[in-house]
Amino acid sequence: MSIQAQVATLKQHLEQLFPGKWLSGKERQQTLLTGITEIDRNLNRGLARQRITEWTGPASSGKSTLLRAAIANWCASGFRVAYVDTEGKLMAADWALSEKFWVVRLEGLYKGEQTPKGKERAQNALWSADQLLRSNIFDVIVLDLGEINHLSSRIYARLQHSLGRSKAALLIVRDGAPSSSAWGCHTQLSFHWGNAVQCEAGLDGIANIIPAIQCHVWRDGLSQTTEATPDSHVSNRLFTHPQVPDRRTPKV
Amino acid sequence: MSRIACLRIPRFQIAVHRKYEPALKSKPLVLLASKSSAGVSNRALILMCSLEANLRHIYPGMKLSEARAVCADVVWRERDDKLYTDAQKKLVRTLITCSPKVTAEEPGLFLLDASGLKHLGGEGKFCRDVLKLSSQSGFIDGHVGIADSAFAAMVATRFKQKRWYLVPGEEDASFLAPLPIQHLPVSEDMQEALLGLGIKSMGQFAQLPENSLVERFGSEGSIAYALALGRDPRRPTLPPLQREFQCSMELGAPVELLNETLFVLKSMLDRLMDELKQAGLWADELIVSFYNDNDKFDERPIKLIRPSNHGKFLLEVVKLSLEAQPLKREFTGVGLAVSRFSEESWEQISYRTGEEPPAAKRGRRTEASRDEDAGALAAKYSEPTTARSRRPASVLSRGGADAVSDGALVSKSSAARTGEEPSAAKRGRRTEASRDEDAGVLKSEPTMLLLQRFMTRLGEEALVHPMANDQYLPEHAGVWLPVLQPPAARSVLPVNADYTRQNGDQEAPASGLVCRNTPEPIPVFVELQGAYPAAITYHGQWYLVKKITMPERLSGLWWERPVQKSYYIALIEPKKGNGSNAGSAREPANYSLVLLVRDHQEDGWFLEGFFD
Repeated sequence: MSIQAQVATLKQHLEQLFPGKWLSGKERQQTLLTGITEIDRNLNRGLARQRITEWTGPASSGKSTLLRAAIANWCASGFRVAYVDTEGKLMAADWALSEKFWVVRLEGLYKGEQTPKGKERAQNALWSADQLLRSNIFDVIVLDLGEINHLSSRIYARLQHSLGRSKAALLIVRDGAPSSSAWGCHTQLSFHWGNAVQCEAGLDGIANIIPAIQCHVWRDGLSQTTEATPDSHVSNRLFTHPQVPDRRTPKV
Repeated sequence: MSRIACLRIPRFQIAVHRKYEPALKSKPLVLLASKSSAGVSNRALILMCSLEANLRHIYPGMKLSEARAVCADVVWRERDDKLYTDAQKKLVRTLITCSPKVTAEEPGLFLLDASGLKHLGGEGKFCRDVLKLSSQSGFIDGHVGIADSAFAAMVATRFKQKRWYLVPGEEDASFLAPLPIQHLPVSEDMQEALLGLGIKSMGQFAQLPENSLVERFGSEGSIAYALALGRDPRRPTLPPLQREFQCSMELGAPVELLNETLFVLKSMLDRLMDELKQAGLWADELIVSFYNDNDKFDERPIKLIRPSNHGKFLLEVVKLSLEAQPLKREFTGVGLAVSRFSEESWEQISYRTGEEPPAAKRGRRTEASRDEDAGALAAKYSEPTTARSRRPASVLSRGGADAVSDGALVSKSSAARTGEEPSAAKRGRRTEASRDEDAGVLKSEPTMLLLQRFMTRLGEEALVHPMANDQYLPEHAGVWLPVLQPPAARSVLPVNADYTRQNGDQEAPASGLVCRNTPEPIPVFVELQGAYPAAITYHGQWYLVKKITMPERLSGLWWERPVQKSYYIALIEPKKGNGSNAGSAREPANYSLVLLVRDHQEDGWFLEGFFD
């Protein structure tokens, strides 16, 4: 076996042990699987490193639910994920996944101020994403722009430039329809609630409503539609500190 | 005849916490004794309480769980001796303007030289000045006493009705005589013995023969006897000289450009850092001031997330600050000061486990080793830490951190690539190693730089991580914790993940729908059909409620602020589009899933979030 082949084999072994750290050149363009079978098995094939992926959909469409499932999977696999929350709509209780998951919250900066909702907020969000990419600490960076829709092609180019020197995957999440100007996106996914709505019956009516999530994927000029149903399990997070009864006899 | 003044600030530690966190004012605050990295234990003992906590029947010596049972609103902080010492030193420096000799006896107790005030407005004015300075420093609740001896002055501050009390000259003994012996700093046994003998006041105690007191109680009795007679050798002294690291520069012409500003600041930083290095110190905080013709128009304190005396790093931090908040006008002079500094020290941690070695192994890193590449050092060297926080701080790179927990990473490898759900056993095995890895990455150089950038531009609380809180109201069920702040620093009762896992809840965190809350609850108008909403309107649009869940009724505890809410999950559809796309499989569904809340206290309906 030649030395080059041996090196390639060694890299493969090391990549098995330390994913994402032994990639170079073309090998770095691997994808991070989301753990959601419906998304991974189709055209999307996970999230591409060093590329921009865009997830769009109305304010209530199921994209955050699938995003959280994917982030939980990445964190459980040892990857570090950063989330730039431009509008501060995330609830901490929903996202308490792992210490590997960091969030940049920008809404707290504007307390008591009136004006800087648009441009300055977008600037801070983009600056944050740029810094996170340059730090080369994170494997996935989620830039949640919320209702901000005015990203120009120059900004996409700048982000792509930063991605070129990092191993991370950049995921842009927006409320609304997919933008036509986002030529820099490697993959675009658009989400909507599906027509199938699952209702879990309780003692005296409906206990929970779980609609299916419909996902349209655009990649390399091709498109595909798929549908996923989220899990409805609710975790127990109450009274997890059982008190040890104090049975000692009080001093007389 | 010398006169001594004593300034007493009751509950000094509580006052210090409130000074730095104004949000704690008027809240029942307690200080805890324990300090653990895992978080606050329910069994931690309470060391000190605020007045508000006392009013709610919380007292020192109680456990935190007992205090929470009595008052659910109780806020707790861990004891931070460094913080109190710093505040005390700062107050001493302030009090020097009143008297040249100032000594801090214990937290919240200061002795000042009050001699020779006859021609300076008298002792009353002196007391007012001291109290005024104390209030300006954030300690509004102070008491001052003046007497010939330090002990009598201290006792004089205990009169709660009076802000200051002046004991006339040479009357310390007669002032102390009627007061109870509980004021004397003696052991409980001695106090009980004296009370058993019927000696209740210091006057009665002073009438006892000194020899017999020494025979029975030893030196303790002798000291107490002298104090009761108003003889106390303690005197305020000149405070130790404070080292100052600051420099300023007058420029010949006005400067406005960032590059020119940095050029000037670089030379000043290099000079200051050389001085710090020679003194074996590093900077915790810098203050940069800009002047325009002697008019100081900009002063910016720059906090460092880790102490440093590295000029290049500090210049980058200053640059970030100037970029985030540009100067509003040109300047002709600039001042740079190291406002807080600490002793430089370096510790070595274990390569494999990340544990710190005993203090005996502590040693300074050489200059040469500092210049080595961070990546190469990662596997060999540990982090430099401050003696104060014992927080490793610098050089582990990502690769180094991974190397520390290599055993765990073998099991973590292929899950994301293959999409497999990691098993509970695997997860349990790697939890500990994962923590090590997290700690390593958090302290690595790129992470520190990243955190410093975010702190300088966006503030300390911009970069956070979510933590589940063991509370049942949705708005309290999770908290955002700054990445650099340990969980124990906030009033959080984290969900016990081990307990949850033991009860078969393996894959819980990522299940269910995600709710994105609205910045403020949106009031909605509701059309009811029986007990349930049939239609709602908000932002001028009517929506039909297609499906709605049973309410989840939650209320606050009876001793808290009353909360009574019913939470519904509702599937709503715009009224105009009703039926237009119901049967079409190709068109996307046009409905939303919202969190609808009936607030029984305010008697209204609100939309508090969207499920996305």
